[in-house]
Amino acid sequence: MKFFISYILEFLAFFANFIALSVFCLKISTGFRYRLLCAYYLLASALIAKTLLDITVNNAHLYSILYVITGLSVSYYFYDLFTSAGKRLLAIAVGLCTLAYYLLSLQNKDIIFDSVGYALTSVGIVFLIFLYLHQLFSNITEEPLTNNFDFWFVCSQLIYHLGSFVIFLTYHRLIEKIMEGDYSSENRAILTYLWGIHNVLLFLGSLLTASGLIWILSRRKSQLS
Amino acid sequence: MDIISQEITVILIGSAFFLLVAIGIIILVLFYQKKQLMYTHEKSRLQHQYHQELLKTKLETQEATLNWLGKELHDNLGQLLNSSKVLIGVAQRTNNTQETLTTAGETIGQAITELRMLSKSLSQEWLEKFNFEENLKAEANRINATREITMTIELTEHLNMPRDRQLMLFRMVQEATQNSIKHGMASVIKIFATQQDTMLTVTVEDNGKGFDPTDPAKQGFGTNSIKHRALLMGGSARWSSGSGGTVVNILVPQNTST
Repeated sequence: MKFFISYILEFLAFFANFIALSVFCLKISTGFRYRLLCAYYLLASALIAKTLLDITVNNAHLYSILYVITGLSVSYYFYDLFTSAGKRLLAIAVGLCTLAYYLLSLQNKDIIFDSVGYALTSVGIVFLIFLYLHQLFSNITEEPLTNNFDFWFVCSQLIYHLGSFVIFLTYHRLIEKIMEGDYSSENRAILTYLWGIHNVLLFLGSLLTASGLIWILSRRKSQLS
Repeated sequence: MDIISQEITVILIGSAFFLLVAIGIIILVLFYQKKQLMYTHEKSRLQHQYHQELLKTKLETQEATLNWLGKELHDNLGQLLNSSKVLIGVAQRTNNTQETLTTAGETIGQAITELRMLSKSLSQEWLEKFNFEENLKAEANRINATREITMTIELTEHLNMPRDRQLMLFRMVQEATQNSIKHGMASVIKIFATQQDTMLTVTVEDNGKGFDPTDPAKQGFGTNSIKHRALLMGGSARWSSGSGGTVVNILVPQNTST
Protein backbone atom coordinates (compact mmCIF):
# COMPACT_ATOMS: atom_id res chain seq x y z
CA MET A 1 0.00 0.00 0.00
CA LYS A 2 2.83 2.41 0.94
CA PHE A 3 4.53 1.69 -2.37
CA PHE A 4 1.27 2.28 -4.21
CA ILE A 5 0.70 5.67 -2.56
CA SER A 6 4.31 6.81 -2.79
CA TYR A 7 4.99 5.77 -6.37
CA ILE A 8 2.07 4.41 -8.42
CA LEU A 9 -0.54 6.95 -7.29
CA GLU A 10 1.39 9.83 -8.86
CA PHE A 11 1.39 8.14 -12.25
CA LEU A 12 -2.29 7.22 -11.85
CA ALA A 13 -3.22 10.81 -10.99
CA PHE A 14 -1.51 12.23 -14.07
CA PHE A 15 -2.91 9.49 -16.27
CA ALA A 16 -6.45 9.98 -14.86
CA ASN A 17 -6.18 13.64 -15.73
CA PHE A 18 -5.06 12.71 -19.23
CA ILE A 19 -8.06 10.38 -19.64
CA ALA A 20 -10.50 12.98 -18.25
CA LEU A 21 -9.19 15.70 -20.60
CA SER A 22 -9.19 13.31 -23.58
CA VAL A 23 -12.85 12.48 -22.92
CA PHE A 24 -13.60 16.18 -22.54
CA CYS A 25 -11.88 16.93 -25.88
CA LEU A 26 -13.73 14.08 -27.60
CA LYS A 27 -17.19 14.76 -26.20
CA ILE A 28 -17.42 18.45 -25.35
CA SER A 29 -14.75 20.82 -26.60
CA THR A 30 -11.72 20.57 -28.85
CA GLY A 31 -10.32 23.93 -27.78
CA PHE A 32 -6.54 24.20 -28.07
CA ARG A 33 -6.03 24.79 -24.35
CA TYR A 34 -7.67 21.42 -23.56
CA ARG A 35 -5.65 19.60 -26.24
CA LEU A 36 -2.50 21.17 -24.84
CA LEU A 37 -3.42 20.00 -21.34
CA CYS A 38 -4.02 16.52 -22.77
CA ALA A 39 -0.53 16.52 -24.24
CA TYR A 40 0.90 17.86 -20.98
CA TYR A 41 -0.70 15.14 -18.88
CA LEU A 42 0.43 12.47 -21.33
CA LEU A 43 3.99 13.78 -21.17
CA ALA A 44 3.81 14.05 -17.36
CA SER A 45 2.52 10.45 -17.16
CA ALA A 46 5.42 9.34 -19.37
CA LEU A 47 7.95 11.17 -17.17
CA ILE A 48 6.54 9.63 -13.98
CA ALA A 49 6.44 6.20 -15.67
CA LYS A 50 10.14 6.66 -16.45
CA THR A 51 10.90 7.36 -12.78
CA LEU A 52 9.01 4.19 -11.86
CA LEU A 53 11.20 2.04 -14.10
CA ASP A 54 14.03 2.35 -11.58
CA ILE A 55 13.15 4.02 -8.32
CA THR A 56 16.69 3.81 -6.94
CA VAL A 57 18.24 6.26 -9.44
CA ASN A 58 18.18 10.02 -8.98
CA ASN A 59 15.22 11.49 -10.83
CA ALA A 60 15.47 15.15 -9.75
CA HIS A 61 16.12 16.31 -13.32
CA LEU A 62 12.92 14.59 -14.50
CA TYR A 63 10.94 16.38 -11.80
CA SER A 64 12.55 19.66 -12.87
CA ILE A 65 11.35 19.04 -16.43
CA LEU A 66 7.93 18.23 -14.95
CA TYR A 67 7.63 21.57 -13.11
CA VAL A 68 8.70 23.58 -16.15
CA ILE A 69 6.21 21.86 -18.47
CA THR A 70 3.55 22.26 -15.77
CA GLY A 71 4.29 25.97 -15.51
CA LEU A 72 4.27 26.50 -19.27
CA SER A 73 1.15 24.41 -20.04
CA VAL A 74 -0.96 25.74 -17.18
CA SER A 75 0.15 29.33 -17.93
CA TYR A 76 -0.94 28.90 -21.55
CA TYR A 77 -4.22 27.38 -20.34
CA PHE A 78 -4.91 30.49 -18.25
CA TYR A 79 -3.68 32.77 -21.05
CA ASP A 80 -6.36 31.26 -23.28
CA LEU A 81 -8.97 31.38 -20.52
CA PHE A 82 -8.48 35.04 -19.63
CA THR A 83 -10.47 37.68 -21.45
CA SER A 84 -8.56 40.81 -20.45
CA ALA A 85 -5.20 41.79 -21.93
CA GLY A 86 -3.71 42.57 -18.50
CA LYS A 87 -4.50 39.12 -17.11
CA ARG A 88 -3.15 37.49 -20.29
CA LEU A 89 0.09 39.40 -19.87
CA LEU A 90 0.39 38.12 -16.30
CA ALA A 91 -0.18 34.53 -17.50
CA ILE A 92 2.69 34.98 -20.01
CA ALA A 93 4.84 36.42 -17.22
CA VAL A 94 4.22 33.38 -14.98
CA GLY A 95 5.12 30.99 -17.80
CA LEU A 96 8.26 32.95 -18.68
CA CYS A 97 9.35 33.17 -15.01
CA THR A 98 9.10 29.37 -14.67
CA LEU A 99 11.08 28.85 -17.87
CA ALA A 100 13.70 31.45 -16.93
CA TYR A 101 14.17 29.91 -13.49
CA TYR A 102 14.51 26.44 -15.00
CA LEU A 103 17.13 27.64 -17.51
CA LEU A 104 19.07 29.36 -14.72
CA SER A 105 18.86 26.30 -12.47
CA LEU A 106 20.39 24.15 -15.23
CA GLN A 107 23.73 25.90 -14.55
CA ASN A 108 23.65 24.92 -10.86
CA LYS A 109 24.01 21.20 -11.58
CA ASP A 110 22.04 20.53 -8.38
CA ILE A 111 21.09 16.87 -8.12
CA ILE A 112 18.47 17.36 -5.41
CA PHE A 113 14.78 18.05 -5.92
CA ASP A 114 14.30 21.70 -6.92
CA SER A 115 12.05 23.12 -4.22
CA VAL A 116 12.31 26.73 -5.39
CA GLY A 117 11.31 25.81 -8.95
CA TYR A 118 8.29 23.85 -7.73
CA ALA A 119 7.25 26.50 -5.19
CA LEU A 120 7.64 29.24 -7.81
CA THR A 121 5.44 27.33 -10.27
CA SER A 122 2.82 26.67 -7.58
CA VAL A 123 2.72 30.29 -6.43
CA GLY A 124 2.42 31.42 -10.06
CA ILE A 125 -0.42 29.01 -10.77
CA VAL A 126 -2.27 29.91 -7.56
CA PHE A 127 -1.90 33.58 -8.52
CA LEU A 128 -3.41 32.83 -11.97
CA ILE A 129 -6.22 30.89 -10.26
CA PHE A 130 -7.09 33.99 -8.20
CA LEU A 131 -7.10 36.07 -11.37
CA TYR A 132 -9.49 33.55 -12.93
CA LEU A 133 -11.79 33.72 -9.89
CA HIS A 134 -11.75 37.51 -10.20
CA GLN A 135 -12.75 37.15 -13.85
CA LEU A 136 -15.57 34.81 -12.83
CA PHE A 137 -16.92 37.30 -10.29
CA SER A 138 -16.65 40.17 -12.75
CA ASN A 139 -18.89 38.35 -15.25
CA ILE A 140 -21.47 36.40 -13.27
CA THR A 141 -23.60 34.30 -15.61
CA GLU A 142 -26.89 32.46 -15.17
CA GLU A 143 -25.09 29.16 -15.80
CA PRO A 144 -24.12 27.41 -12.52
CA LEU A 145 -20.36 27.19 -11.99
CA THR A 146 -20.62 23.42 -11.58
CA ASN A 147 -21.55 23.19 -15.27
CA ASN A 148 -18.27 24.84 -16.19
CA PHE A 149 -15.41 22.37 -16.76
CA ASP A 150 -12.79 25.12 -16.39
CA PHE A 151 -14.06 25.78 -12.88
CA TRP A 152 -13.63 22.11 -11.89
CA PHE A 153 -10.15 21.99 -13.41
CA VAL A 154 -9.10 25.23 -11.71
CA CYS A 155 -10.41 23.91 -8.35
CA SER A 156 -8.37 20.74 -8.77
CA GLN A 157 -5.28 22.85 -9.50
CA LEU A 158 -5.96 25.00 -6.44
CA ILE A 159 -6.23 21.96 -4.16
CA TYR A 160 -3.07 20.42 -5.57
CA HIS A 161 -0.84 23.48 -5.76
CA LEU A 162 -1.96 25.15 -2.53
CA GLY A 163 -2.08 21.84 -0.60
CA SER A 164 1.39 20.75 -1.79
CA PHE A 165 3.03 24.16 -1.48
CA VAL A 166 4.61 23.52 1.95
CA ILE A 167 5.86 20.09 0.81
CA PHE A 168 7.43 21.63 -2.31
CA LEU A 169 9.03 24.41 -0.31
CA THR A 170 10.61 22.18 2.33
CA TYR A 171 11.43 19.01 0.38
CA HIS A 172 14.87 20.16 -0.80
CA ARG A 173 15.92 21.19 2.69
CA LEU A 174 14.67 17.92 4.18
CA ILE A 175 16.63 15.85 1.65
CA GLU A 176 19.72 17.93 2.33
CA LYS A 177 19.30 17.53 6.08
CA ILE A 178 18.89 13.77 5.83
CA MET A 179 21.82 13.46 3.45
CA GLU A 180 24.04 15.54 5.70
CA GLY A 181 22.94 13.72 8.86
CA ASP A 182 21.46 10.29 9.27
CA TYR A 183 20.83 8.82 5.80
CA SER A 184 18.99 5.86 7.28
CA SER A 185 16.26 3.83 5.65
CA GLU A 186 13.82 5.20 8.25
CA ASN A 187 14.56 8.78 7.29
CA ARG A 188 14.31 7.94 3.61
CA ALA A 189 10.97 6.28 4.29
CA ILE A 190 9.77 9.53 5.89
CA LEU A 191 10.69 11.40 2.72
CA THR A 192 8.88 8.85 0.56
CA TYR A 193 5.89 9.07 2.90
CA LEU A 194 5.86 12.86 2.54
CA TRP A 195 5.91 12.56 -1.25
CA GLY A 196 3.04 10.09 -0.85
CA ILE A 197 1.01 12.89 0.78
CA HIS A 198 1.78 15.04 -2.27
CA ASN A 199 0.58 12.16 -4.48
CA VAL A 200 -2.68 11.93 -2.54
CA LEU A 201 -3.29 15.65 -3.11
CA LEU A 202 -2.47 15.24 -6.79
CA PHE A 203 -4.87 12.33 -7.00
CA LEU A 204 -7.58 14.29 -5.16
CA GLY A 205 -7.18 17.01 -7.78
CA SER A 206 -7.52 14.56 -10.64
CA LEU A 207 -10.57 13.01 -8.93
CA LEU A 208 -12.13 16.48 -8.78
CA THR A 209 -11.48 17.03 -12.49
CA ALA A 210 -12.94 13.61 -13.33
CA SER A 211 -15.97 14.23 -11.08
CA GLY A 212 -16.56 17.55 -12.81
CA LEU A 213 -16.42 15.90 -16.19
CA ILE A 214 -18.85 13.14 -15.12
CA TRP A 215 -21.19 15.78 -13.64
CA ILE A 216 -21.14 17.87 -16.83
CA LEU A 217 -21.68 14.83 -19.06
CA SER A 218 -24.60 13.61 -16.93
CA ARG A 219 -26.16 17.09 -16.97
CA ARG A 220 -25.86 17.27 -20.75
CA LYS A 221 -27.37 13.81 -21.07
CA SER A 222 -30.33 14.68 -18.83
CA GLN A 223 -30.88 17.92 -20.77
CA LEU A 224 -30.92 16.06 -24.08
CA SER A 225 -33.32 13.34 -22.93
CA MET B 1 15.06 11.29 13.74
CA ASP B 2 13.07 13.33 16.28
CA ILE B 3 13.92 16.65 14.63
CA ILE B 4 12.96 15.23 11.24
CA SER B 5 9.67 13.92 12.67
CA GLN B 6 8.94 17.31 14.19
CA GLU B 7 9.61 18.99 10.86
CA ILE B 8 7.40 16.49 9.07
CA THR B 9 4.60 17.24 11.56
CA VAL B 10 4.98 20.98 10.89
CA ILE B 11 4.93 20.34 7.13
CA LEU B 12 1.82 18.18 7.46
CA ILE B 13 0.04 20.81 9.56
CA GLY B 14 1.04 23.47 7.02
CA SER B 15 -0.17 21.35 4.11
CA ALA B 16 -3.44 20.58 5.89
CA PHE B 17 -3.92 24.29 6.58
CA PHE B 18 -3.35 25.25 2.93
CA LEU B 19 -5.60 22.41 1.78
CA LEU B 20 -8.36 23.70 4.04
CA VAL B 21 -7.79 27.22 2.68
CA ALA B 22 -8.15 25.85 -0.87
CA ILE B 23 -11.37 23.99 0.01
CA GLY B 24 -12.65 27.10 1.82
CA ILE B 25 -11.97 29.26 -1.24
CA ILE B 26 -13.87 26.82 -3.50
CA ILE B 27 -16.87 26.71 -1.14
CA LEU B 28 -16.79 30.50 -0.83
CA VAL B 29 -16.73 30.93 -4.62
CA LEU B 30 -19.71 28.59 -5.07
CA PHE B 31 -21.61 30.31 -2.25
CA TYR B 32 -20.81 33.77 -3.62
CA GLN B 33 -21.97 32.84 -7.13
CA LYS B 34 -25.22 31.48 -5.71
CA LYS B 35 -25.79 34.67 -3.74
CA GLN B 36 -24.97 36.82 -6.76
CA LEU B 37 -27.39 34.83 -8.92
CA MET B 38 -30.13 35.23 -6.32
CA TYR B 39 -29.43 38.96 -6.20
CA THR B 40 -29.56 39.23 -10.01
CA HIS B 41 -32.84 37.30 -10.13
CA GLU B 42 -34.35 39.48 -7.41
CA LYS B 43 -33.19 42.63 -9.21
CA SER B 44 -34.68 41.55 -12.54
CA ARG B 45 -37.91 40.50 -10.76
CA LEU B 46 -38.18 43.94 -9.16
CA GLN B 47 -37.42 45.62 -12.49
CA HIS B 48 -40.14 43.56 -14.16
CA GLN B 49 -42.54 44.44 -11.34
CA TYR B 50 -41.60 48.12 -11.68
CA HIS B 51 -42.33 48.10 -15.42
CA GLN B 52 -45.65 46.31 -14.82
CA GLU B 53 -46.57 48.90 -12.23
CA LEU B 54 -45.50 51.70 -14.56
CA LEU B 55 -47.73 50.31 -17.28
CA LYS B 56 -50.61 50.11 -14.83
CA THR B 57 -49.93 53.68 -13.72
CA LYS B 58 -49.93 54.89 -17.33
CA LEU B 59 -53.28 53.21 -17.94
CA GLU B 60 -54.74 54.63 -14.73
CA THR B 61 -53.55 58.12 -15.60
CA GLN B 62 -54.89 57.82 -19.14
CA GLU B 63 -58.21 56.59 -17.79
CA ALA B 64 -58.37 59.45 -15.31
CA THR B 65 -57.50 61.90 -18.10
CA LEU B 66 -60.24 60.49 -20.33
CA ASN B 67 -62.80 60.73 -17.51
CA TRP B 68 -61.81 64.31 -16.87
CA LEU B 69 -61.90 64.99 -20.61
CA GLY B 70 -65.41 63.62 -20.92
CA LYS B 71 -66.52 65.74 -18.01
CA GLU B 72 -64.82 68.84 -19.42
CA LEU B 73 -66.42 68.29 -22.85
CA HIS B 74 -69.82 67.99 -21.28
CA ASP B 75 -69.64 70.55 -18.48
CA ASN B 76 -67.36 73.20 -19.92
CA LEU B 77 -66.93 73.10 -23.69
CA GLY B 78 -70.48 71.86 -24.27
CA GLN B 79 -71.88 74.62 -22.10
CA LEU B 80 -69.79 77.30 -23.84
CA LEU B 81 -70.89 76.17 -27.29
CA ASN B 82 -74.47 75.91 -26.11
CA SER B 83 -74.32 79.47 -24.76
CA SER B 84 -72.89 80.64 -28.08
CA LYS B 85 -75.72 78.93 -29.95
CA VAL B 86 -78.30 80.55 -27.65
CA LEU B 87 -76.63 83.97 -28.07
CA ILE B 88 -76.65 83.63 -31.87
CA GLY B 89 -80.33 82.63 -31.69
CA VAL B 90 -81.01 85.70 -29.53
CA ALA B 91 -79.14 87.89 -32.03
CA GLN B 92 -81.28 86.55 -34.85
CA ARG B 93 -84.49 87.38 -32.98
CA THR B 94 -83.59 90.77 -31.39
CA ASN B 95 -82.31 94.19 -32.52
CA ASN B 96 -79.31 94.18 -30.13
CA THR B 97 -77.34 92.11 -32.64
CA GLN B 98 -73.83 93.67 -32.33
CA GLU B 99 -73.46 93.28 -28.56
CA THR B 100 -74.98 89.79 -28.52
CA LEU B 101 -72.74 88.62 -31.37
CA THR B 102 -69.67 90.06 -29.60
CA THR B 103 -70.55 88.06 -26.49
CA ALA B 104 -71.17 84.98 -28.63
CA GLY B 105 -67.77 85.52 -30.32
CA GLU B 106 -66.03 85.82 -26.92
CA THR B 107 -67.76 82.62 -25.75
CA ILE B 108 -66.64 80.78 -28.89
CA GLY B 109 -63.09 82.15 -28.36
CA GLN B 110 -63.16 80.80 -24.80
CA ALA B 111 -64.37 77.46 -26.16
CA ILE B 112 -61.46 77.40 -28.63
CA THR B 113 -58.98 78.07 -25.78
CA GLU B 114 -60.55 75.27 -23.73
CA LEU B 115 -60.37 72.98 -26.76
CA ARG B 116 -56.66 73.73 -27.21
CA MET B 117 -56.05 72.85 -23.56
CA LEU B 118 -57.97 69.62 -23.98
CA SER B 119 -56.07 68.66 -27.13
CA LYS B 120 -52.83 69.09 -25.18
CA SER B 121 -54.05 66.44 -22.74
CA LEU B 122 -54.65 64.03 -25.61
CA SER B 123 -51.15 64.40 -27.03
CA GLN B 124 -49.44 61.11 -27.96
CA GLU B 125 -46.16 62.17 -26.33
CA TRP B 126 -47.79 62.89 -23.01
CA LEU B 127 -45.46 60.57 -21.09
CA GLU B 128 -42.33 62.03 -22.69
CA LYS B 129 -43.55 65.49 -21.73
CA PHE B 130 -45.00 64.45 -18.38
CA ASN B 131 -44.21 66.98 -15.71
CA PHE B 132 -44.98 66.27 -12.06
CA GLU B 133 -45.31 69.92 -11.07
CA GLU B 134 -47.56 70.93 -14.00
CA ASN B 135 -49.84 67.92 -13.56
CA LEU B 136 -50.08 68.47 -9.82
CA LYS B 137 -51.04 72.11 -10.39
CA ALA B 138 -53.68 71.03 -12.92
CA GLU B 139 -54.99 68.52 -10.37
CA ALA B 140 -55.14 71.29 -7.74
CA ASN B 141 -57.01 73.56 -10.15
CA ARG B 142 -59.57 70.83 -10.82
CA ILE B 143 -60.09 70.16 -7.12
CA ASN B 144 -60.19 73.88 -6.23
CA ALA B 145 -62.79 74.46 -8.97
CA THR B 146 -65.31 72.57 -6.84
CA ARG B 147 -64.99 75.41 -4.23
CA GLU B 148 -65.55 72.86 -1.47
CA ILE B 149 -61.95 71.78 -1.09
CA THR B 150 -58.84 73.96 -1.02
CA MET B 151 -55.70 72.37 -2.28
CA THR B 152 -52.39 74.23 -2.04
CA ILE B 153 -49.04 73.22 -3.50
CA GLU B 154 -45.61 74.35 -2.32
CA LEU B 155 -42.90 72.88 -4.48
CA THR B 156 -39.68 74.73 -3.86
CA GLU B 157 -37.53 71.83 -5.07
CA HIS B 158 -37.12 71.18 -8.77
CA LEU B 159 -37.73 67.53 -9.57
CA ASN B 160 -34.68 65.99 -11.21
CA MET B 161 -35.95 62.53 -12.09
CA PRO B 162 -36.95 60.58 -15.21
CA ARG B 163 -40.48 61.12 -16.60
CA ASP B 164 -41.65 57.60 -15.74
CA ARG B 165 -40.63 58.11 -12.11
CA GLN B 166 -42.37 61.50 -12.07
CA LEU B 167 -45.52 59.76 -13.31
CA MET B 168 -45.28 57.12 -10.56
CA LEU B 169 -44.81 59.84 -7.94
CA PHE B 170 -47.72 61.82 -9.33
CA ARG B 171 -50.00 58.76 -9.09
CA MET B 172 -48.99 58.26 -5.46
CA VAL B 173 -49.76 61.88 -4.59
CA GLN B 174 -53.02 61.66 -6.58
CA GLU B 175 -53.96 58.51 -4.67
CA ALA B 176 -53.20 60.22 -1.35
CA THR B 177 -55.31 63.30 -2.22
CA GLN B 178 -58.19 61.09 -3.36
CA ASN B 179 -57.99 59.24 -0.01
CA SER B 180 -58.10 62.61 1.79
CA ILE B 181 -61.22 63.63 -0.13
CA LYS B 182 -63.07 60.29 -0.21
CA HIS B 183 -62.27 58.80 3.18
CA GLY B 184 -60.92 61.73 5.19
CA MET B 185 -63.63 64.19 4.13
CA ALA B 186 -60.94 66.87 4.16
CA SER B 187 -61.59 70.46 3.18
CA VAL B 188 -57.97 71.59 3.09
CA ILE B 189 -55.15 69.66 1.45
CA LYS B 190 -51.55 70.86 1.45
CA ILE B 191 -48.83 69.34 -0.71
CA PHE B 192 -45.17 70.25 -0.25
CA ALA B 193 -41.82 68.77 -1.10
CA THR B 194 -38.49 68.82 0.72
CA GLN B 195 -35.16 67.41 -0.32
CA GLN B 196 -32.44 65.91 1.88
CA ASP B 197 -29.33 64.68 0.07
CA THR B 198 -30.66 62.47 -2.71
CA MET B 199 -34.01 61.74 -1.07
CA LEU B 200 -37.09 63.71 -1.97
CA THR B 201 -39.99 63.82 0.47
CA VAL B 202 -43.41 64.73 -0.84
CA THR B 203 -45.89 65.38 1.94
CA VAL B 204 -49.66 65.32 1.55
CA GLU B 205 -51.33 66.87 4.59
CA ASP B 206 -55.08 67.20 5.19
CA ASN B 207 -57.49 68.34 7.89
CA GLY B 208 -59.74 65.30 7.51
CA LYS B 209 -61.13 62.98 10.15
CA GLY B 210 -58.02 60.78 10.12
CA PHE B 211 -57.67 57.04 10.56
CA ASP B 212 -55.61 54.47 12.43
CA PRO B 213 -52.62 53.69 10.16
CA THR B 214 -51.72 50.64 12.29
CA ASP B 215 -55.12 49.03 11.73
CA PRO B 216 -54.82 46.62 8.78
CA ALA B 217 -58.57 46.86 8.15
CA LYS B 218 -58.16 50.58 7.45
CA GLN B 219 -55.44 50.03 4.88
CA GLY B 220 -57.27 49.85 1.62
CA PHE B 221 -56.14 49.40 -1.96
CA GLY B 222 -55.02 53.03 -2.27
CA THR B 223 -52.76 52.91 0.78
CA ASN B 224 -51.19 49.61 -0.28
CA SER B 225 -50.75 50.90 -3.81
CA ILE B 226 -48.80 53.94 -2.52
CA LYS B 227 -46.62 51.70 -0.33
CA HIS B 228 -45.95 49.27 -3.18
CA ARG B 229 -45.09 51.99 -5.68
CA ALA B 230 -42.80 53.80 -3.24
CA LEU B 231 -41.00 50.51 -2.55
CA LEU B 232 -40.55 49.85 -6.28
CA MET B 233 -39.03 53.31 -6.65
CA GLY B 234 -36.52 52.45 -3.93
CA GLY B 235 -38.25 54.58 -1.32
CA SER B 236 -40.96 54.30 1.30
CA ALA B 237 -44.27 55.82 2.40
CA ARG B 238 -45.29 56.70 5.98
CA TRP B 239 -48.61 57.74 7.49
CA SER B 240 -49.32 59.65 10.66
CA SER B 241 -52.91 60.36 11.46
CA GLY B 242 -55.12 61.70 14.23
CA SER B 243 -58.36 63.56 14.78
CA GLY B 244 -56.76 66.70 13.27
CA GLY B 245 -56.03 65.05 9.95
CA THR B 246 -53.58 62.81 8.12
CA VAL B 247 -50.02 63.34 6.96
CA VAL B 248 -48.58 61.11 4.24
CA ASN B 249 -44.81 61.28 3.69
CA ILE B 250 -43.60 59.76 0.42
CA LEU B 251 -39.82 59.34 0.32
CA VAL B 252 -38.20 58.57 -3.02
CA PRO B 253 -34.62 58.80 -4.29
CA GLN B 254 -34.24 61.59 -6.86
CA ASN B 255 -31.57 60.43 -9.28
CA THR B 256 -32.07 56.69 -9.43
CA SER B 257 -32.89 55.31 -12.85
CA THR B 258 -34.90 52.05 -12.88
